[in-house]
Order: sequence, then C-alpha cells, then structure tokens
Amino acid sequence: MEHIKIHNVSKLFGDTKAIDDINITINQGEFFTLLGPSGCGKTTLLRTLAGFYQQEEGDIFFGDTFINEVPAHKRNIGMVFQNYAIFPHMTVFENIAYGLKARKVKKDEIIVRVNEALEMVELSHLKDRQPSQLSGGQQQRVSLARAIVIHPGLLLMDEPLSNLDAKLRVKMREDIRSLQKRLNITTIYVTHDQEEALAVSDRIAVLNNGKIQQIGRPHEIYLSPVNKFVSNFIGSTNFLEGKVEAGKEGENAMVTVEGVTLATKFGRPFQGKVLYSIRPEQVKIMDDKETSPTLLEGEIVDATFLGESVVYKIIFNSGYTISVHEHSIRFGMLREEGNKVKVDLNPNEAVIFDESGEEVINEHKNIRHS
Amino acid sequence: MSIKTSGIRNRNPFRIQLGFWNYVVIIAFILIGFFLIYPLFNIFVNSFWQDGKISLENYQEFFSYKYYYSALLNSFIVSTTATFFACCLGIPVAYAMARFNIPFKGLFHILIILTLLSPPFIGAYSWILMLGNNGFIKNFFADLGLDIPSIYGLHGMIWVFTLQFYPHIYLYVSGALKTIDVSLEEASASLGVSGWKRIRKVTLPLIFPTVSTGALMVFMASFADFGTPMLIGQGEKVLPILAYEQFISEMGSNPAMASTLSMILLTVTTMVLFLQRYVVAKKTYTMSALRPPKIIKLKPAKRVMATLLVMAVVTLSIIPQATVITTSFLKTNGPVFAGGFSLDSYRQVLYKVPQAIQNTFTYASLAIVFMVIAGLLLSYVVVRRPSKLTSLLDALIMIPYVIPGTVLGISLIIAFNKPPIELTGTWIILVVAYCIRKLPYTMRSSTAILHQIDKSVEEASISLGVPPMKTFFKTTAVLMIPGVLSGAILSWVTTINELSSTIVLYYGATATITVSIYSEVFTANFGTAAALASILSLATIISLIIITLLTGKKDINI
Repeated sequence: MEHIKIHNVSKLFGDTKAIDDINITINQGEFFTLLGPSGCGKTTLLRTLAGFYQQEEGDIFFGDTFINEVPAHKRNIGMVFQNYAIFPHMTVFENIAYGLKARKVKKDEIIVRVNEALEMVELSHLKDRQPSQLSGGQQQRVSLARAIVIHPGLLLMDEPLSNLDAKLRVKMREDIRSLQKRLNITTIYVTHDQEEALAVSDRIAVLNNGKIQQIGRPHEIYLSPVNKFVSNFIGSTNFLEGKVEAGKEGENAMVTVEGVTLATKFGRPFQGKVLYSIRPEQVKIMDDKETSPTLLEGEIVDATFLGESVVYKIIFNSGYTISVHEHSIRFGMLREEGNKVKVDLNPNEAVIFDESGEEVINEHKNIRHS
Repeated sequence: MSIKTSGIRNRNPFRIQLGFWNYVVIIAFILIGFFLIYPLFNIFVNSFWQDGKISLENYQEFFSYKYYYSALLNSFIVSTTATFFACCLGIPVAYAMARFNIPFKGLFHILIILTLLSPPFIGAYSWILMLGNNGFIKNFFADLGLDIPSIYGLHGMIWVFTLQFYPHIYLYVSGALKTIDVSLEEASASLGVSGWKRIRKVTLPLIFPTVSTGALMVFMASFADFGTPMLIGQGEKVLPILAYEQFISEMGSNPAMASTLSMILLTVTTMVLFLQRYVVAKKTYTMSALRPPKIIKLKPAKRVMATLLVMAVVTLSIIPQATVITTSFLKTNGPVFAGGFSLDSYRQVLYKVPQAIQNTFTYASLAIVFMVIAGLLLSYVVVRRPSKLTSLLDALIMIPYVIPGTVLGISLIIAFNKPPIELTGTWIILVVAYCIRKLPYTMRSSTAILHQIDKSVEEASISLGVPPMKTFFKTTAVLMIPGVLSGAILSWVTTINELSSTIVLYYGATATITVSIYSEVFTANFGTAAALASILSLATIISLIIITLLTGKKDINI
C-alpha cells in the first residue's frame, strides 16, 4: 500500500538546489533509506518531510493527507537525530513521556506506554536516570523510544548511528531493523554509510547533488548500478578504460579492455569508449599456466591479509593496477608479491558505462523509478 | 490519488514563531535606536554646532589649547602604561597559576576576581588612606625620616589601574593556557627548545591574541575610568574628567565642548578596538586542547618562589579592599579617627544615606529583570536566527563596550533633558543607562550557553507535537537560564559598583551608594565612605558566590 508520496519536490538554499525534483513513493511499513555522500541533499529531504524546511516546489502526501501546509508539530512524525537531541533537563522517563503529554494522553496510559517503549529498547532499568548519566548508545535508545512511543505515522532517522563506535553500530542497526519490522512503522533512514544502508533497508535511494541516482533493493543497487557514481559509491570497484566496436541490442558485443576482447550483452545499441567496472571480489585470479585469449597477464605487487579475505594489487603490462579480493579459504596458501598470475575479468558480472557515466549493458529503466 | 500542485511558495513552517521573534527584533531596534543611537548621534551633531551653525570650532579649540589636548595626552600615557604593567603582572601570575603546583589556588583566584569587580575608585580611595598626603604608610615612613612620593598624580593613577585591571589579563591568559595542547610544547622541547626560550617562542605567540584582548579591556577600563583620576589626579586632568567638568560646571557649562570631548573619547576607544581586532585577525589560531598541559610539580625552593610571586601580586591588589573594610570598623569622631573599633560608621551611613542604599539595589534589580528578559530573547535571535538584521543588532548591543560611562551619561542627558521626553533627574534615566551599559555582559554569557545547547533539541520537541513558541519556553529557555542568570548577576555586580555614568545622571534623591562614597570622600568623611564601600564589597562577594553555584565552576568570564 502506498504510504508516503513525494512528488516533484525541490528545495532551494539561495540559488542552489539542495534537492532537485525528487519523486519517491514509499509503501506502508517499508524501511526506506536515503543514501549519499555529505551534501547530497538526503538530510534536506528528510527535514523537508519533517516540516523543518518548506520545499519551493512539489507536493508531499502522507497517505491521502496533503502535508505541504501542515506545520511540523502537527505531522505526527517520530524523529531520531544524529546527536540524539535528548532533553538534558529531563529524566529518561520524562523524555519519553514528553510527546504523550503534548498529546494530552491520560497519566496512567502514559505510564503504561512509556514502560512499554522502555522495554522495547531494553532500558527499563534506567528510566529515572538523567541523560548525562547515559552512554551514547543508551541516549540513542532513549531517542528511539521517545520517537516510537507516540505511535508516529512516519519514523525519520537522521544518521542515528554515526556517533557510535563500530561494534555498537552493528548491534544497534540490527535492533532498529527488528523493532521497525515488529511495529511495522514506515521508516525513512538517512545515512552516508553504504554498508549500513545495504544491511537495514528494504529499498534504497542513492542521491548525489540533490538528485536521485537510483532507487532499488540493496542487491539491485549493488549488482546493477545505473551509473558510474552509484557503482563507485556502493562498495568498491575497479574501473578500466575500454572500447566497444559494435553493440547491437540483445546481441553479443565485444569490449576491448587492456588488450583483450570480451563478449557481453548490451541493453541498447552502443559504440565507442566505455568504462568497464568490475568489483574486486568478481575478478578471478587464475594460475599462470592457464591459457585463454580472455585472460590478462599480471603480477602481484601487494598482498594484504584481512582474515576472511586477502586483498591483492595486481599490475598489468599496461601499468594499470587492479584490486582483487579473494576468499582466504579458496587457496591453502597466500599468493606472494612478485607472483605472475592470469586474471579473468569476468564479463558476465561486469557493468559497463559510457563516457557520461551511464550504464549501457542492462535495461535499467524499470529499476530506476520503481 | 490526484496530485494537486500547491500554489504556496516559500511558506515557512515557523510562521507563528517568526511572528513573535520579529516583534522581539523590532522592539530591540526601537529601544536601541531611541536610547543609544539617538543620544550618540545627538552629541555627534552637537560637537559640530557652534552659535547656530555647523563649524569645526570646537575641535580646533580642543587641539589648540594645551588645557584640552594635554588631557588627551595624559589619558594616553596613563592607559598605555597601566596596560603594559598589567600585562607584566597578569601574564606571569596566570602562567604560574596554570602550570605550577601553587597552594591556595582557589583562594587566590577568587581574590583576583574580587579585585576586578570592586570599583576602581574605591581602590584609589584606599590608596589615599595609605599613601595620601596624610596616609598612614606615608606617615609611618615620614616618622622614620623618609619622604616617599604621595599617590597623587599620573603615577598614582597608573599604580591604581595596574593593580585594579591586571585581573583582565590574568583571566584571559588563564583561559588561553588551558587550550594549548601539551604536545605543542612537547614538540618544541623535543626539537631542543626548552625553558624560557620555549615560553618565548611557542607559548607567548600562541596566547598573544588573548593577551591583546585582555590588554584591550585594561586600556578601555583605564581610559574611561572617572573616579580614580577624580580622586587622585589633582592637577593632572584626563579626558573623562574634562568632559564631565565641561558639562557640569555651573558657570561655564559648555555642552558643545562636552560633546566634542565625548566624541574624541569615543573615537579613541573605537580606534583602539579596531586596531586590536586588526592586529589579532592575522594571528588567531584555533586550538582545542585534546591534552591540556599537566601541572608541573616544582621543587620546594622554586615552589616557594612562585607562590611568593603570586601572593605578592594578589596581596598588593587586595590591600585596598582590606584597608577599606578595616577602616569601616574604626571608631570615628566626625571625620577624625578616634582610635579603637566601633560600628559608628555604619550607624552614620544608615542615618545619613539610607536612600542611596535603597536606590542602588532597587535600580540594579530593575535593570537585572530587564537584562534577563532581553538577554534570553536577544541572544536567541542573534544565535538561532542569523541574518543581516540580527547581526547588526548584535553589533549594536555591543557598542556600549566602547562607550565610556561619562560619555553615555552626557549623551543621555543632552537627549532627554527637554520635552517631549524629559527624563533628566528621574530614576528611569539611571536604569536605562545601566541596562545599556551592562547588557553586553548578559548577552555574552547568554550567547555562550546557547552555543552549547543542541539546536535539534527544539526540533525534537516540535516533532513530538509541541508548537514552536511553547517548545522554546519548555526546552531552550529552561536550559539557558543558568547562563543568562550568571551573566545578569555579573551585570548586577558591575551596576551596583557603577560610578562614571551615575555621577553625570544622578540628581539628589536618585543618588546611589557609589555617588555617596564619592561625595563622602570629597568631604573627607573616610569612615562613612568606607562603610558604604564595604556594603558594596559584601554584595559583590555574595553575588560571586551565587554565580559560582549557578555555573558550577570557578571560571568567570568578564
């Protein structure tokens, strides 16, 4: 069921468009993430939804309600802030009860609901504490409880985990995700951390320069990026310069990269210079003795052991260096620096971009604005 | 679902709130315009007005008569010399207190702040008691056959100002020393630069901007002070005295000349302010100490030396207070000390000037109420709603920093001594003057605390369903109160100790304690003057304790 509809929304700061003609439809109970580098407009969009900014153009609907003219305090939104925004002069209990008091909920019901919320975030034992006595993680839990206790129509989270340490971040994001599913609250989550976005989201919108680059489920965005920006921002990848002689729709086309010619399928007719993008874990390292015209010769110049995987830097004859991840258990022993190897660039999993950075293999129009 | 395109553009979600804050800004501009800009503009015009036409005659006169320009010269000599000596005292004391294990630090710190907050002319007055023509120290040496110079004259002013205002340097430098990361000094030590050379090459340049700000405060305070030169200047006149005399003298009252002198005073203070800003602008380093320096444990001999240095300076500067308080308990017989102790002086004070005591505390309390409200609202407007308009407002509120009290007093009288608005001689004009002069203190601490309050706290409250205006009073306003109050109390303290504008503005029934002390000293009633001064000191100490309790720390920024 459609729940949130953002239609042609733009927000200007002075002359610059912080967000530019945004169209998103979010379903009831969906965990939707706005992902992008700092300054991409994701927080601006979130704050526009919250009512802290007013868009210059476009409309926002919550369900059937036209929300443009509803002031922030009447939008019934739960919001979790990056820096927690706990009321420092109130106890944990008072913080969580704040929104209920504003809604004139009866006293005994407030007690029941606050206790319920405290249980959900596992903080029942701290309800009489002052915020200054809480750790960052605990403060963020208070902030979360305060946002969900009012039964908001929409939960907005603005980089809620970025001030926590790495381990706690993983634990918190799992808790947030399971709580969100349990309560079935439509949630919009802002982050610049692509791993976090992939881990928690039902769908992700990748933003850059105020524009939506791609909307899709986490694996779609990772495996089928629609342009160079998304491919580069989500995970890491190798970009190799190449050339396409002739590519016809639905037919095999030949891409020449680093002197080898690889066959791949194209979504639309194309000819000319391209960027061949292949993720480090999609590249296969072969034994030096393998012979095939599609393999590239190279030499290992650096090997970094990371536990579950090993990262190799391999230099080709052209002088270009590629990064390759190999699972540790694939080989019983580490490849050494100086080893000569053959490399399979795995065209079936590669993504190819034209000179303007647009993807040319897949038919991705459906993914883009689904 | 049908999509309607909204015709509304630029609608602000804070519409209701903006309405309220707009009124705050408008009212602030009206009040400032009326009570600050208009009077200043008035004396500006006045200074160019002679016999019904525009002329530079007043300025020509000023620069051609030695009687006038020597006062400017004197002011410069006294202020720059006092600033120099204040640095000589303030920097070493601050360094020793910050870095060495000196005992009784807390006590020394409080005494230094107390020195700063007590009115300078009380210092001057008690130095008269000690080193005046009949001072007890002078008499003591005279009995031994030694003739030491008396306190009267330019050197006396320099002496009093140095001891009175070095705490500015001390406070600023102490603050700066805490923000120097220890690694900077370690780095220079590892490069083979250590000891005095390190202090000179690393520490001093780093704290230079702060020292210069402190020096500016000392200069301004010395340049603008009225009481001290009045009491111990004798033949040597400085600018504020000259302006006051031109304005007040029954016979040759010359408002045009008083305005001219006021303009010259203002020009100098403004120029010095910009000079300091200009010098500092190129040399400001932002530092936030990750590891503030450790306190060095000195060997016993060196520790005693450092302690003695600090103790000597602190003692010397607190002696006037001690002298005054002691004097207040001496038995008097009219103006003559009769030997032994008694409460005579206090009895006389209550009999002679009960009105002055009541006035002081009433006016200061009225001013504090206004300053709390103004500090709360205006700092919010300036910090949270930044625009060209609010930054102009911020600049206007800070103008009184460079206005000597005498100048403000003169400008207010000239502006409001005739219908339709005749405030001269009323208590209102005094309260107005106090609010204008002391609001910057409240503003400073209010904005400081506001910067520490998370903006998103208000957004959290709004998103939870509380309207913006109510949100402000339920969250930010509550959180600001300690900062606003501590600033307001500081304003209060400096208000009860205020002399330079009061002396121009008071009128018989509206006399305050400071004015009474001043006139008692002039009529040689040292006992009653001392009792009044002790009442002020007591009020000051109590206020300091309240500020310390409110902010929960020993640091007080003035």
